[in-house]
Amino acid sequence: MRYRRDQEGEQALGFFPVEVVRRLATLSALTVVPGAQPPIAGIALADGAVVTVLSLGEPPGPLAAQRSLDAFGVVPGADRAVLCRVGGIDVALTGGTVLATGVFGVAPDGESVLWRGEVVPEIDVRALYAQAEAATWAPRAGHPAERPRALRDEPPSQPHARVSEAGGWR
Amino acid sequence: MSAPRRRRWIEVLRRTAGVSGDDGRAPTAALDDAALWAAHERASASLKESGARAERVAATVARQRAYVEGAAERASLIAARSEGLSAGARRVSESFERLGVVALNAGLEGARAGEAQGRALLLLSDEIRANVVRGADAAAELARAVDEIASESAEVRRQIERSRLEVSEVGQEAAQLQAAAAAASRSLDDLGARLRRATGIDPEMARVVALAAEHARGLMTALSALSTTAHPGPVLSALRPVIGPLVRLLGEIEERGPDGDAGQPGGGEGLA
Repeated sequence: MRYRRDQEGEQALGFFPVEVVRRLATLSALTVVPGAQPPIAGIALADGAVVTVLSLGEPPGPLAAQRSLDAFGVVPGADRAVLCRVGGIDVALTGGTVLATGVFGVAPDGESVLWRGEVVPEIDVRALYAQAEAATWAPRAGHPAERPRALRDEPPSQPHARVSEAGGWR
Repeated sequence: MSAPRRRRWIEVLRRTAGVSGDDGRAPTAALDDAALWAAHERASASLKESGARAERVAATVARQRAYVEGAAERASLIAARSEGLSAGARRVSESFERLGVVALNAGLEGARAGEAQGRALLLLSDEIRANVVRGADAAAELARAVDEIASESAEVRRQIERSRLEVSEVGQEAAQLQAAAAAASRSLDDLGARLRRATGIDPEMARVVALAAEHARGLMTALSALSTTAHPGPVLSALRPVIGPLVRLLGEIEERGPDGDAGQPGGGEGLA
């Protein structure tokens, strides 16, 4: 998936492991939850089920513009939400563009995957969700919200062993 | 020739010849009357031509209005068709979008199934994705073309609407032109009637008077030239058969005066 890494709009690539990602889905009835902190965007319906929506930030740009810039072509509908399951909870991630799905080779660091010659780190959805919960509860406990670690450049503290990867995001 | 007509002729000839008539008008008044009637005739002919042209303009405008109405109707049909095509292009794009999601999800399921078991699904996903991208590009191009057509047809409709207004205005102008031509024709008829009462002659008589005056001047010029020759006798003898009746007619006119009786044969009939 391609998403904006920071406020300046620098774009980055990330991938979801197949154990986490479920499918791409169309969200409807997105509702903002009062008091929820970023990256929580609210709750929405995905195929009839209520899911928590986590936003990775503003989308990298209109899909048509991305498609015209990408030599390999971006599939229409690639900006749909990615439905993941962490700890038995369905969450939907928005704000990125899915560039490819399938089996990718493991990078030399053993944590990332290779996609068209690029090393693509994992987007740690579990950590992202945990940070989202912490950001929501921290103000009530008197602590300032922290930016989710999953979107930082460091590798996740809990690496996941994998043989095949799915849901490559850039 | 009837007596009143003959009297009028005599009076006209007298005035033409430079003799004041009973009405005391100037000697050249008869020629002026003839010129007036000639102008009246020309104005009448021009007015008839104008009226005929105005009628043709009105008929042409009516046909143009029918054409413009037909064009406007067709432009509306094209606009409606363009809207339908735009909606169709949007549906095609949406279908490609759903198909793209299906292809990406198929890739996910292929990865979930494993490299060996999911190979077919992965290949299928890649193939569908490639075709979806091409199809979506074509659909987007089609949508742009349809949008351009819709925009152009909207412009055509606006121009047709302006043409319709212009044609309507031209039609009104043509109708006013016809009405003005009819009014001018009535005024010219009234002018003719008043001219007839004022001059005592009609257009036909005016034409003949002008012709007679012209011939008289020519005759006078020729006779004057003959009078200067050394031996005019033979020439005058040759002209006598022609000039004799004319002299007799003029004599009769002089003798009878304006109240001469009717039915006298002579050159007067020749003049009429």
